[in-house]
Amino acid sequence: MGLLSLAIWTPIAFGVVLLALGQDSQARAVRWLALVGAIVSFLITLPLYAGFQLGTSAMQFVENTSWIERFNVHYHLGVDGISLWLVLLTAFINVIVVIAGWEVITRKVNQYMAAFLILSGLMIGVFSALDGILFYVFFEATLIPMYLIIGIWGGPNKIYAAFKFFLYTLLGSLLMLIALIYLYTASNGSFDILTWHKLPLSGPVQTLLFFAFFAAFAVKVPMWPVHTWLPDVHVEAPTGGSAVLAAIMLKLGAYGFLRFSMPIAPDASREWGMFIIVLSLVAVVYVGLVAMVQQDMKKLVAYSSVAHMGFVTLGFFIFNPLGVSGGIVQMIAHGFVSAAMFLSIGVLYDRVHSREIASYGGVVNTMPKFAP
Amino acid sequence: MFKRVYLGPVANDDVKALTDIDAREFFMLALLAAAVLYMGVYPKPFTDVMDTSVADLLKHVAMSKLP
Repeated sequence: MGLLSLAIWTPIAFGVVLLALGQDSQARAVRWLALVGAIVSFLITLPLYAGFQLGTSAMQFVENTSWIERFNVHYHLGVDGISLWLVLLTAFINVIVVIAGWEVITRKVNQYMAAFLILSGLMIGVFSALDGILFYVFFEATLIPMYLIIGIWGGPNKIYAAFKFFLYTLLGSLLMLIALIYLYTASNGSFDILTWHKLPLSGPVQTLLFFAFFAAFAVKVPMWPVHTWLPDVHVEAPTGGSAVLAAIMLKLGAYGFLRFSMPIAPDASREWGMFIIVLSLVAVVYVGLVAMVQQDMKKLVAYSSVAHMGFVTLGFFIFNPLGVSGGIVQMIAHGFVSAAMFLSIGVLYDRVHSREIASYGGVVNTMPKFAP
Repeated sequence: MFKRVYLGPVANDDVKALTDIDAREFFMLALLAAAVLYMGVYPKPFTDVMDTSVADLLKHVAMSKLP
């Protein structure tokens, strides 16, 4: 079995096994097994980096088998320079998040850990999918564990937040599905993303495809003005859920711009690049200001995430190697940083159960190791 | 926010009762901090991996696809 398939299905397999350990008395075993599973899954991704060949932009670690023959859908995986670090980031954050949920989660521990492990595998699937339908299946499948994580272990308003998250991102993605089906017909029956990259398309068609993909990815990133789901969801999600959401799920959207919008509709991308740049700038400046006046710590970090992702999309649509590389580096760095920020807030919240800044003051006096 | 939350005198009873982070939490935050600092000081592994694919993508975007 190829390395990428192992990276995807190992955490999912561990997650499924965990679902079988239902009793609360087994919570200790569940936590350790989840940790082992997360670490093993991370170790599996390391050879991807070690064996990665620099200097070529071709897809590596490629696996391609026929899946649904009737529609020429393939189980086609591969990573290149853009997706490799995202795969490693996903597996790494998964380990951190399992450690983060160690003591805080006491109800249904096995389902919580299982949800995160399965989510991690699915997200690696999104980053490595090279077939349109495979990508779409993984992309949408990530919503299910996330919805459950928010809806079961979340805060007081969790059902509203989970539902809002699910609907918002699902509706955006439906337009993407239409775009994928159109590309299937336009390319004479192929769902292969790499084939689509080379497919000639007329200007108006490209514009429509660009905006269809934009609908899906702009909501996911999230870009202003469709960013409003993020603060609500972050506030209600449990700490680990927020960390994964900010660290990785937002990157699914940005990755989509690089993998779909730009290569498949290059003329439209160049034509509408300024539009994206303006939206990104609004996100950076306006949402940054909004973040500053927040009273709730998680909302503050949520708005700042929107601003940070604004830098990412800004970098991408300048169409300059430094800009795009910078955007990708920012994606990875933001993954680490936002995870750390949400976990830090979680540390405070676990003790005091308040996210209001006004409830705190002088923490350095009682928590000297934490403050730095 | 940092100033208001962390610095200054102890604000209320809740803060007085706070216990410092335990080894587990320290470890996971340290891991993330190390990753961020490493990336900032030595981003070469990241940029090396990305460069060729990014250059190729931009070359592709610069070419028109109109039939």
